[in-house]
Amino acid sequence: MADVPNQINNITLKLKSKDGEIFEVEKPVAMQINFVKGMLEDVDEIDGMEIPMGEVEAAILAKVVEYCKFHYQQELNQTNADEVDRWERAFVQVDKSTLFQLILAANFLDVQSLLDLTCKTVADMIKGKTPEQIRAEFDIDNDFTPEQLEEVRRDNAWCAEDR
Amino acid sequence: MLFDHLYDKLVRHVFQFLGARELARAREVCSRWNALAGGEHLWKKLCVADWAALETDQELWQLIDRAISLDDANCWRNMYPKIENIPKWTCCLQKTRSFVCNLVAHQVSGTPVGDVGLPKVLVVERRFSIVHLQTFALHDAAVLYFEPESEADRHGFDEFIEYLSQRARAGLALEAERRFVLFPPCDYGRIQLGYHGRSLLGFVQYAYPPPRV
Repeated sequence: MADVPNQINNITLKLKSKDGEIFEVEKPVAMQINFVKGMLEDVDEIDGMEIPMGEVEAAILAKVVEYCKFHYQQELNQTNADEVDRWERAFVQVDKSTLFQLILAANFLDVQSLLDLTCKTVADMIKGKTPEQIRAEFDIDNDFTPEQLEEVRRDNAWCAEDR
Repeated sequence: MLFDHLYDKLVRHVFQFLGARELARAREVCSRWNALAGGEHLWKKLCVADWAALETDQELWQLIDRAISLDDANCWRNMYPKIENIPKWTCCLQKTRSFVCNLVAHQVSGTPVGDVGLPKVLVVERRFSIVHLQTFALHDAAVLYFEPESEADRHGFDEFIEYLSQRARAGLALEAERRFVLFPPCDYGRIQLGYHGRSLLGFVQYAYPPPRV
């Protein structure tokens, strides 16, 4: 009995990064990537096919695959929510450049839960910081004229006591 | 550098995970953030999460602040600070022994209801003619705006308003010391409170002057 799903799972897809690296991924894992799923809808014979993953480079594609593998396993094993939470928090412990590339990849490849996770992680880095600290954190130039900044601050008078 | 790589759509996706005060402060970072974090889409989401009826009841806007209307640019961003500190409670509305719906009550004016809040269950045991509302209401009574807690409650909510409207009645729920009056759209709401919408309003007061006979 257990052989039947195994046979289906045994089909592997070859996901090809921008820089030419091939990731062999079991089909149900890869199907969590909507971009791949959409592509397969138009194809009859998928065995051995290489699927180009657009602008996504190997280092980032490796992370996306790792994420999809975990979530596939987690659904099979009904991993409890705390454990998923712990795993995800560890997963996004990466440098900022990687994190932002992951956002772009999750968006392009259409993996909604990964997009939410990475965007929420960036949001958490914004929380609790002053505008000046936020600029430093993300290397952003303050391009306001003093008048413009004054205008925004006036709008924000209602939450000024937070400062 | 980092944010330069993200399209506007993705920056907004990041911003939707911020609370209102964090979102407001994000506007002070740079002009791009000002435009994106100040966007109506995000502020509407925050407002509607707090008070769903803002999306459907234009007249409610008048009740909260006459200076802001749904037609204004930045109306949602301007509305948020007005509703941020308006207290609200959820409770279960019953007629004698029968469930009507779950409600959210927002206090729009009057003496603060305070930390005691509303009872978990409001049982409407009596009804009286809405022509007596004027004499019944104390000038400092806490005024409440009700909305169904979820879509599942909407049917019971609408039926209850219809039930009161057809009979021109207000409903009365009692506690040891407090009286809760719930009333459908009527002259009292329009003239005394300036509310011209279709929702259920109410007031809470400690004293209980009987209507003049």
